[in-house]
Amino acid sequence: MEKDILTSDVYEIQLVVFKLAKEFYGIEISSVQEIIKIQDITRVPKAPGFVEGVINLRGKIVPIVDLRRRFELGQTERTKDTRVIVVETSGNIVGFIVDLVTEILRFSSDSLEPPPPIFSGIDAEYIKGVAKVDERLIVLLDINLMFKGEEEDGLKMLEAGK
Amino acid sequence: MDIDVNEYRSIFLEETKELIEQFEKSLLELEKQPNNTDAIQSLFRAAHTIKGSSSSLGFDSLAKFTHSLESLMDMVRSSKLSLNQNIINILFKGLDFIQEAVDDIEEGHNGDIDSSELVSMIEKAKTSPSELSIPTVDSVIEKNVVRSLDVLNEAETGVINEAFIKGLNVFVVKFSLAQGCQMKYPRAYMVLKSLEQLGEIFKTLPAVTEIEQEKFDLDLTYYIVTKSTEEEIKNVVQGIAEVEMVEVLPYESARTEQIQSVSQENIEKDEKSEIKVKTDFKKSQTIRISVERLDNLMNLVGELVIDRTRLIKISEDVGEALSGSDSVTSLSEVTTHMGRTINLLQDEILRTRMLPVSHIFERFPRLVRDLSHQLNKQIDFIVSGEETELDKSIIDEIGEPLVHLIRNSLDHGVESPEERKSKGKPERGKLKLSAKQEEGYVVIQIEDDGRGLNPDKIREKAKKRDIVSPNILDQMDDQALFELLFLPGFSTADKVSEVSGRGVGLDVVKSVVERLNGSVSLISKLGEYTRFTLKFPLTLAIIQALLVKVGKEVYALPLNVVLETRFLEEEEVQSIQSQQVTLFRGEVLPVLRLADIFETPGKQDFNENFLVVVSTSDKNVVLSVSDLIGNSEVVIKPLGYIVNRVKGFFGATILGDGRVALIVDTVSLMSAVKEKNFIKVG
Repeated sequence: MEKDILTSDVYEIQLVVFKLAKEFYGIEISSVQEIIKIQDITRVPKAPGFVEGVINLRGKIVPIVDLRRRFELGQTERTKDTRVIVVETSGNIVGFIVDLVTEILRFSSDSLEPPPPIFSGIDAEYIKGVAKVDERLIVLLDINLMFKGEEEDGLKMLEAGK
Repeated sequence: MDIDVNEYRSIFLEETKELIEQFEKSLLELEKQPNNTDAIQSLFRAAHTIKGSSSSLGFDSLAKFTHSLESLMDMVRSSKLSLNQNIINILFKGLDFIQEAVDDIEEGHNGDIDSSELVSMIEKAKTSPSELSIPTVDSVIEKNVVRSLDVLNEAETGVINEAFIKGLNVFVVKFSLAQGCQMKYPRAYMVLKSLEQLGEIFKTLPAVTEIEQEKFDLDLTYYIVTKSTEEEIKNVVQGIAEVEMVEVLPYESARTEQIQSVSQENIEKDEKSEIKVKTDFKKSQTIRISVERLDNLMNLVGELVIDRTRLIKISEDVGEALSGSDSVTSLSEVTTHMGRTINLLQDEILRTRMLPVSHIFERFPRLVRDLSHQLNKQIDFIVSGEETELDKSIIDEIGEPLVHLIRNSLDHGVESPEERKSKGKPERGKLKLSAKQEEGYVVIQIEDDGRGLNPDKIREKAKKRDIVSPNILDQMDDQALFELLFLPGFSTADKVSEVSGRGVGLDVVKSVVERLNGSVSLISKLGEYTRFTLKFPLTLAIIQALLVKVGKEVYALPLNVVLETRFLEEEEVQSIQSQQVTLFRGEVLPVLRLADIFETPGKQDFNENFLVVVSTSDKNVVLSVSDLIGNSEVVIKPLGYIVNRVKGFFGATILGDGRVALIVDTVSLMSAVKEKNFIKVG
């Protein structure tokens, strides 16, 4: 009995869903601090290429990462839909530039599937799973891993003098 | 036991550190004034408290040791043992031992260090007082005064008052019996008897019973009420065999003497009690706050400061658009008032982070004492401005550089007594350490009256080391030459001594100071003095900066590294092997285009019309920028995740219009530039 309860641990996931190029991605709402319109970004010379710069978020300096460039999907075009999703985990705050925030979705954790093996390369390791919602595939990102990974990548890039 | 040992441990450590400081201070005082009973008392109390608290926390080894130290001091305190250099040295060693044990405890151990050697020294000192005892003449005098103060009780002063009313004389008769007097009591009795024929003796010192038991040395004092004159009394006493040195004082004069000393003591007592009340009051009114919490407050205030700047800008913009409207007027009123309040709040919060520099200065007298002993030099160490306050985080860091500079001065600056004498200087050298506040900065100076720096020697050395090209060297004035000492590995000392080499490590001093947004400079006159001046901002969180424009981008340069700004004259910048250079005070400095270093977009489309001369850890460099905006107080904010690894900046700040400007760290920027072989610097 007990074992059953533990293994059939189904819970509800709430996602902020957004678009990068033609793909849909999701971040768990618990790590999203807010969604803001794009504003003046101060460029940081010598920062890794995917770092757009820093902004002033009510007195805090927040680095802004272009997620499309991060995932090597080209550069985000700025439109009126362009948004910055500000996420926070373990004290790190970062803003992600995305093409469009589509919706907030709730779905059951059992509808989450492990990432298909066709994913590979830089982004594969940050993918928690893939959810199928209304015939759409939504890639669920693992923010914690992204922070860790970016830190390492960032370091490597800096060391390489890029 | 569910006592949180760690909590007690940290309280213990904090308290004990304070006690150690007190111990050291009192000990240094005692060494200068062996008769300073207050210092002995304070030493004793410090040791006693350390003993108590360490034993209650189970640091038995430390408790045992302080006990033995305490008992030694108790013997000194109760005059069973006279203070001598040997005991002072032992006490210093004891202090070091306590410090060592406390360090050990702080590292999480038990403070269980072998003290047997020191304890046996202490025990030996207790039994065999050394002959080198420091004369304690002063204390004898002091004791006499105290004793004569205790003389009269109420009944006795009653007798005196009565005598004055009746028109009688009151005399204090002081006399001594001859050395080697065989019958002290009979002689004293005879004096008593003879005087009693002239009047009434209402008091004797010592008391009659003590005289009977011959419990006195040779000195006696009788108080007499009499019709007779001073002269008569004196004659009577002098007429008795084996009596020498008779002094008859009218009580009036004796009394005024007493009153003076009594009132003086009262004043002293009053002052002491007042001070005590004050400190007690202070204690009950203070609370300990974690530094973290203060940092948070500081950050919040920083945000307010930024908002203030923004608000002022908005209010100006609105004012322009809607001038004359009532709301605009009140908006500007509110903005001004808020600005003022925020200023006050910022000052107040800054102040809570401030500590007097005495926190670090306190350890230097000991350092100077030990070093001057070691180097056989005589030093007057003069400290001033200890009450000057500085941000705690800066205080924590500047101890090391100061130690370094003091060592330098003692080792290389101040000459040996013989050398000084031959130069016609006083044998004792002077070392001055001072702190003072100057505008937004705290200035700390270390000055010795020693041999000073020899510019020719520095020039010679620089030539040998090939640090600067010879023709530039010849153009450099003394001041510029002294600056060379801050280059890594540059030393003018003929031989590097044990204590330090002048020059060796000055680069380290410089880098620590600059990391704290401070600056260091030195001036010197050969044969006369050397003075180091350290300048620190009051706080690390808010600094003065020069805002500059590079194309459309705004950067902040900490004002403490900015030496000069000037408009670029065409002929000013020349080129040496495709590296742009300019002359600044006779020195050839590289000119760096910030637009190139920062890879500013569209850099070919704008001119850089201004030069900013900045100091870095190695060498001054000149940065060219497109415009100067002006000075501003900026709040330093961390750049955050990933970006903080980028070299060349130590943070960012938010400008009045809400935009972010990066704060340039010239030191790391130059090292980044050098790594990429942008330029040869230094």
